Amino acid sequence: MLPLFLVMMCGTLQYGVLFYTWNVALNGARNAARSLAVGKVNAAGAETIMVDALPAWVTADPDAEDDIDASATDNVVGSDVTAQITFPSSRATFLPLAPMPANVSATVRMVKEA
Amino acid sequence: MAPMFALALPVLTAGIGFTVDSASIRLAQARLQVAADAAAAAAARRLDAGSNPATEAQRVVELNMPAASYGTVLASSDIVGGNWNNSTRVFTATNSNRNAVRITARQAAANGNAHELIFGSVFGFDSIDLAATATALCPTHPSLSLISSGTPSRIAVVTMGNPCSAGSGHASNLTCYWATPDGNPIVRVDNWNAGVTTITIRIVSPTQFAGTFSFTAPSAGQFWVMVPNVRLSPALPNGSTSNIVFRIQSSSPTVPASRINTSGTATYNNRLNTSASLPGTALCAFSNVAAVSRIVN
Repeated sequence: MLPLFLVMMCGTLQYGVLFYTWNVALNGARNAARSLAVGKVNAAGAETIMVDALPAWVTADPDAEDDIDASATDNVVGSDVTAQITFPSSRATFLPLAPMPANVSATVRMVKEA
Repeated sequence: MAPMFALALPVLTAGIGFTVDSASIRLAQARLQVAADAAAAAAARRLDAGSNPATEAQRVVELNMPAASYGTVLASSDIVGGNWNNSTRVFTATNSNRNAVRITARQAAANGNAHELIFGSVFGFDSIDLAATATALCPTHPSLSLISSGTPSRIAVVTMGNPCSAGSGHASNLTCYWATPDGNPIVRVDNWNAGVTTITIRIVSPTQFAGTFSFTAPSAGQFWVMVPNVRLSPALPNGSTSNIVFRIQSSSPTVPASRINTSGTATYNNRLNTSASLPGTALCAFSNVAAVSRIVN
């Protein structure tokens, strides 16, 4: 019984943290895309916005830089800009439990305005 | 212990289901809001005549939430053009004088793509309807505004002064002309042609400003046009003035000769009423103009 109880609790925490992290990554990508679209930052700046938005448990680790793939593409006024962040879902969870998606990924596309 | 756990199991499962499903709902809701914001901001830049905001909204929603994965997120009835009143902060759906677009992105049973719950089905709730609304205000045209939308008799530049304002430094019985704070003259141009018309204007004199500039009128009407690349130094109070003279060079598309005045001139001087925003009614910028829409609601 105790094992079952523990599995249920761990599962709740596992998926709670995963969804929370995913939501934060999506918000970061949204802010990066909007900043890029209104000409507040360039592509490198948008990538920084996305990485800075991530919670500490995703970034606080020496290998984080290799694992986190933040990419942004700028464009001319009237065309689309993209902000995308991808990292292994193991960084967004605390137990190597299945089933999990391989990656957490958030992509936002907007039209360049200025 | 075992019976207690057995009794508590449904409650525990419900708690876990609620926790995990609310987290997934939050994520789906955020994704819908992102798609709605992006689509509204993009569509608001297509409110000028000759563009199609609905097509642009659909295109941008498809970029962020492809139909192949999310179904019909944006029904055509959920794209509403209208007028946003910035002082009352109220959006009114209308087809005339549109300056804003309201988008409602949905994952709903009505669109056949309701958000599926992970644990909800255990308790008989398979899915839930989600919606996110975004309203974006079109970017203001930085160099063109509307005086009147009535159709003038021909394409022409018109001398149009106003009594000098207190800030101009001149007596109010004198005539002043509109200019930006940087000294760009703002000249009145009438457009007879009903459709989108590019009008080229020649600066006849003085010679240091001689040359042409063009602007695109969205429809027929009387417009204020900011003259680019010209900086007038304001005349001193009681000092002498210098004139700047404009003439119509051409229009595209071309109009009958009787509908364009290429010989008459409009004369402005450097007694300036300055205004940070253009006088008249603001117009939406064309989609190729670098100007930012505002997500207002």
